[in-house]
Amino acid sequence: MNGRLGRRAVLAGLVGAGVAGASLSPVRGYLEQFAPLSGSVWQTARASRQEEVESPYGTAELRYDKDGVPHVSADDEGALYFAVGYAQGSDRLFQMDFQRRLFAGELSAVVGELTVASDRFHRQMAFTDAAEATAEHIDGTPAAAAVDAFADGVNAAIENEPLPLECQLLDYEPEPWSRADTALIEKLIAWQLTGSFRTLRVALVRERLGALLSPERADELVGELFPARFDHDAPIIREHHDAGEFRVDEEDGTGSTTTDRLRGAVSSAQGVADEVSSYRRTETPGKELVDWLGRFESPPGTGSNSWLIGAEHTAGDAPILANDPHLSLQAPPTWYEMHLDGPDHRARGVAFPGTPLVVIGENDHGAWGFTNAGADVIDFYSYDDDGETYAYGDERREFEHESQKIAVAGGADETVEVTKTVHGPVVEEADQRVGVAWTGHAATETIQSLYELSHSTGFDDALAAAERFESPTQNLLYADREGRTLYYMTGRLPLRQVDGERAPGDRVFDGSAPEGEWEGFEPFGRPTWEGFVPFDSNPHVLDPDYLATANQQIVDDDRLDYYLSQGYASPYRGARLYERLDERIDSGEPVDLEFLRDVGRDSYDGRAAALVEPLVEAARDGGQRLREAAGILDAWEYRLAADSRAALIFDRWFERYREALLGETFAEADLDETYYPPAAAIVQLPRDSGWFGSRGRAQIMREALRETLAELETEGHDRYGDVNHTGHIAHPLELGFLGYPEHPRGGGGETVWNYSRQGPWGGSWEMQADLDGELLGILPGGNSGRYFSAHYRDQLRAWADGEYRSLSREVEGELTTEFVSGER
Amino acid sequence: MSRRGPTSRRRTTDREGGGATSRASRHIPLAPVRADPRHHWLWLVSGSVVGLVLASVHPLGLVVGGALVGLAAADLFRAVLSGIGFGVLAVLAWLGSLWWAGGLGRVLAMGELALLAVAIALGLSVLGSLARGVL
Repeated sequence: MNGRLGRRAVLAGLVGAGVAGASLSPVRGYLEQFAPLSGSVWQTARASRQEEVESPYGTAELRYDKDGVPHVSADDEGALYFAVGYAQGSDRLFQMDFQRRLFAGELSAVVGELTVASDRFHRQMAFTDAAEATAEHIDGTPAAAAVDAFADGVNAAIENEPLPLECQLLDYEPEPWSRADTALIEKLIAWQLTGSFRTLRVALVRERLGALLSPERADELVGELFPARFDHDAPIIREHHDAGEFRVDEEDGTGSTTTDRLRGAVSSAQGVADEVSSYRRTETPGKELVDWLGRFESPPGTGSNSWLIGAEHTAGDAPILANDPHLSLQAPPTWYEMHLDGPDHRARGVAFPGTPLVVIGENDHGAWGFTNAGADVIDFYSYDDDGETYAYGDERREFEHESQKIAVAGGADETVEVTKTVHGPVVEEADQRVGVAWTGHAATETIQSLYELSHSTGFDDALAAAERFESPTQNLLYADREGRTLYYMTGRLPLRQVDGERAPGDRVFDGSAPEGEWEGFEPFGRPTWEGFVPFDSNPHVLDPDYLATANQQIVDDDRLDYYLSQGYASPYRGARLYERLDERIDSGEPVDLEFLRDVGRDSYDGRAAALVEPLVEAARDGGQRLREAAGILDAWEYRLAADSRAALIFDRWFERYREALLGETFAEADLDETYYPPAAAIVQLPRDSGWFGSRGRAQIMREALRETLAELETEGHDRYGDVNHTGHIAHPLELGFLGYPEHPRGGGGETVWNYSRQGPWGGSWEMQADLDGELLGILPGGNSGRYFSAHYRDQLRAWADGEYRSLSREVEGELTTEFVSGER
Repeated sequence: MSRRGPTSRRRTTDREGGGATSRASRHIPLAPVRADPRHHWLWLVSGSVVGLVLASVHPLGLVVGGALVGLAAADLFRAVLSGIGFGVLAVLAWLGSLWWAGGLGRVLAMGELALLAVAIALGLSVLGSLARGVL
């Protein structure tokens, strides 16, 4: 009897405790997320869209075409952008919120302690302050009205549509969207394109190698690795553009020592070394700080291609414009494709999720695109400080301090000190700190510029819009259907002053002196830009007959009288583009999309063209195995094709070769590969460079090839596509199933058809707009960020295979959601 | 006869899981369900349907479903088997709904997370079925 009762009691207790545990303990959360049938995670697999949604802005229609691209039409602009917000809020909500949290320093609140360092950095950089200043500055403009309607649409989607899978997995609901959040996305993009700590990295490399060698020897070796300019004969602006000079100073016949010195500084690698050493050096920030900061800048290979062909060279009666920005590749893609048909404009192209405006695309009057300019718009300052105050000229000023709490999911809150000076934020790690001034840390009008581009009716409107594009510095290409074309380097370029003279921004300034100031710049306020390069003096070409940009040097330095860039991207893509275009145009055959598709898929590797010949020569002095590899490389045409054995050998060899040259010395200096220079620096090392040491170039090449072949044999890789595939493209949460499957992909980081698996980065949107013909485009993945959508990765294979989609200029697709007038 | 009586009672007692106290169980309302196969299956089907409906709105529906099918079992061991059966049914219903929505492949690709759902279904259903040992 007692035993029976005891068993019942135990079972009753077990069931009761189980139910109580499932209802009250943290287990409840998991059950609500993952229980079959009722789990919130699985609801996202069965989600369907609302067919009718109330909009306070009036009626609009949202259609999705067969590729999951929204076509939004409305007779009222507010209604249009409300529907755009609704579409993005339905398709990309997690991505939008993730990016917002990333740059606001609020990721840990949903991700946990893994992202505390990231939050600390982004709080210290005070990006949200710059975003709020921008949101406030554009108040009252049509662009602000569009952004506000967009935000309302996003919030309606948060309310009406099921939350994305990622939010269900992390068990949170995003906060409402706002205009300042869209401005924060603008800051995010600007930072990813111009937020570089190269100045600090190079200074640290110089200091560390100087400690191993003599300072002079270190200057020489570092100068070879980080030249201000690469050997180059294909800058963006060339002789045939007849663009003249771009000057800040009036020519007065007396010459300018500053100008001369700046020209000298950027004319050669040695010039930079001399230039830098001629200045009073300030203390180099410590390695811990530079290491830490390096985690939060964009990958070094981020770049883009664009080109335009004037109507006189095309097969049709209008120009052709192409653009493929090589931004970070991720799932879902960086860009969101959309087609808007409003009361007074139609625009098709791509936007950054979280922004309502077409950034790269076309409208009824013209097409436009951007590549990164590589301009130096960030400076660093050290201070004579005591922690609370810092010297500033003859006075002492107090740091602006604010203690902020970082919420951490599943852990205790962290505290971060946000510190600012007259120049901008101060970033600090391991008791090492440096002040930062960045053009993005201000109220900017870039959102207005993009709004105006979408509404532009031709060349003049585009030129006016370019002036408002204050940050980031970009190469804008524009072409209209009337045949006008435009290249303009947009963005504000600071002019630094040291001892009353202009100076380059490639070093850490003494912020207490003060030196390296930007006149007219008020961090987190609205700058007057008076101490900046006037817009008219930014490099530009009006009506170029054809022009190509690939992040290479913009213009020969002897055509500038101001410092523009600390260093441009490797020149191979730019040179190859001009080679292909020159050849076609010189042949007299009209340029058409068939030819340009081939240009867009060009995987010719300029590194290989420079190095394979000496490599083959060196390998032939090796054993049988090396001679076989030499034979394969010798027969190769330098194309990084997915099915190429030679491409695999060369690509992997280049990594081993770079490691053989730098690895030992850098390791001795306690510097890892994140401090290595760009590829072109390795390729262009002179044959007698000190980096070849006593072994000599041929011996190093041979050894690197021997190691490469052994490595490939061990790994079992046979073709380039075995290692270069889409499987490297991952989701920010790093959950395998949210990433992409493996499809072999050709191209590399230095080829026009661009895909670098190390980032990964590459063609994040590949567009070709024939203004008298087809509009082509492709995304690396799919347009939907919803894992269960058929459009989550439906373009991936086509992208990997180098195909384009033909994009309609008409509104099409099935009506998915109808917006009806409702209460505001 | 006198030898068969106790033996027979003993068997019944085992099935009911109540040992020598089978007299008490004869008075509970579920006795016919446990004894009569027709009632038994009707109860199982009804209990499963109710359990699935509840499970589609709340995880504890799985516990209720497991308990309903378990209570019809003749003994605790069979109740647990019934609970597992209901859990499997819930998993099949879940996979079927995902297949219908076109998301089955993507869910299976989620690996451990999909297995977690299966584990929850089986765990909660078995937990509910243990109620048979109480009633």
